Amino acid sequence: MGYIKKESLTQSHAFTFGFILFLFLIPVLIRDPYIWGILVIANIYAALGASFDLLLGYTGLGVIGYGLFVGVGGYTAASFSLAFGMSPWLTMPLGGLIGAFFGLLLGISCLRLRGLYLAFASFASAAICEKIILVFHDITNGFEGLSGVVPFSLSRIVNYYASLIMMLVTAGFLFVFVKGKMGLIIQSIRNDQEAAEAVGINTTRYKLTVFLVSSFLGGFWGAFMTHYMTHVGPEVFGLRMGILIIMITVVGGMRTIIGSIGGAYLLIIMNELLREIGEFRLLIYSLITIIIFLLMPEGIVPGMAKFVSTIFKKRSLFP
Amino acid sequence: MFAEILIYGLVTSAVYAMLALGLTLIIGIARVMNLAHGAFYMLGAYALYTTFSSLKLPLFISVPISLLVVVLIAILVDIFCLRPIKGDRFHGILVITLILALFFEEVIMLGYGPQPRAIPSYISGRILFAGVSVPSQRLLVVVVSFLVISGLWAFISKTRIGGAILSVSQDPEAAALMGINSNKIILLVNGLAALLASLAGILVVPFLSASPVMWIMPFAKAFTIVLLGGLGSIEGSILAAFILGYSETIVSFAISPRATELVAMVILFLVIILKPSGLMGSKVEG
Repeated sequence: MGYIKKESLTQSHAFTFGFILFLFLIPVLIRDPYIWGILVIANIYAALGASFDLLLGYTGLGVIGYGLFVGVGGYTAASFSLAFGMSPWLTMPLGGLIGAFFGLLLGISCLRLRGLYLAFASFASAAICEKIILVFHDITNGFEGLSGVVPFSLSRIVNYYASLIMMLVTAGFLFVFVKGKMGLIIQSIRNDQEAAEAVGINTTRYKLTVFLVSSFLGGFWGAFMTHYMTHVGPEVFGLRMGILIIMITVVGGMRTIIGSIGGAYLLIIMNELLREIGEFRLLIYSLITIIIFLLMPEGIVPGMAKFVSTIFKKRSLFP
Repeated sequence: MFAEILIYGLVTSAVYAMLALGLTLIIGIARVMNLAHGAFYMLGAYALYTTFSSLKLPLFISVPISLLVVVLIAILVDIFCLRPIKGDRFHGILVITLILALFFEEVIMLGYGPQPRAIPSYISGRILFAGVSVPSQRLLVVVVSFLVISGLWAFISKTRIGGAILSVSQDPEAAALMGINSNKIILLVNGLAALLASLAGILVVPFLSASPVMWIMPFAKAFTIVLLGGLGSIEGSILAAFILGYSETIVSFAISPRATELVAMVILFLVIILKPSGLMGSKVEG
């Protein structure tokens, strides 16, 4: 990645703050609750993408079944909300905790695994959950999933600001997490695990921490998504959920956290713009992702930052 | 019931063996994970549906055309999508082939719709085998699979190109020093794997019918087989294909057909955790 120069840092900070301010002003600027609703979805996926970035981008753990955590959090929230009428403020942390429990289980069982094995262990565990839900359809309601979950809030503006603030807190936390000593350590594990061990890093501990943090956030946001949509179905465990989150991270820019936010906004807004052509959406999504991945492997957000800074200062933001 | 399990298990195992062998070759030789492999199985089925059912071409023309189309797609994917990836090639290829698989699924979903498409059996009739009346189409799967796998075996162990493939799988650097162009070998292996996968798709489409999402579970099972057999071991894969094929058939007869997919995923998870080197694998590499 290289080091970012001081001036460029303030420039990119100004850019980020401008963007955040813009997001806060959107309900004032655009008086269309429909658009706020779309942006809530974008915020959810931005947070999920950023949490996933911690696993794949920073630590090099290719968990293709990230839907496992989202689904576990979602089903936890739906069950507790339906059974005990719990408030979303309780079920969301609870979904996060159960998600983290599953993350810990997967992390412990896959400690020695890397690459292919880890990818498929995560895929298999997500698929097992999906199949269990389908097999025990009398309890879980099978394909139809659980409906009638208490909505997060009936006010659209509350939904928007809650999702935005929670997304920014999530991204800010992850940003601090990866910019600190922890970030250096997990990146050293990604680059060369043996070398990291040789300099005395307890790779097990750090990998489990990453699993815990990322799966907690996955469960938390899965619970929020369930409350927002008032419904959860077995498809959240599916491969498509995993692929969508991977696409968001890859398109936006891996190893940047902010990139996932850009990726989520781009893909979810594009999703709406492409609603006219309906069925073509996922096709165009995947095609765009493939093209971006091949032509701009570092992702849209770092790519754009480079482009903008060359125009304004004729100097690269990421030398 | 015993005879039924014996025969239906054999059919299932034969399909899995063909799918898994291609995957074994890719993982053993290219040392990357091609997640688009399952999509080639689906593309094969749809290519046959198009040429045989829609265009009404005779079978001996439509099958070669279908195989050729899928192999061509696999070659294009290798040249334009997999080769240019630099840096962390492993995760890069993991991500891009996953997205490619979704892309193919969407193309098919758009072109043919989400509903399953069936084509008539190419050979009709049933054969009485050990007291069980089996549709001949299913027995054809076993025969073709046996012939193809034996042919592949002979190709790899007897020919010079097969030797080159094996040498790349054992030591890519040493093979490169001996003048073997590993890019060409990887291209050949990707083509071969796509050929096997599409052939499996073509053979099962009369009795399983084609749908855009038909590839996910067979692919996951093929991967289970590859791991259970040991990465890169052809013999292990064949053995594991039989283990999975029969255990699924037994579960399907004894418990419920709904539980079969759960069995494969549980086996996959257990193998990864308890014995990642598999039954016949040697050394495990991340």
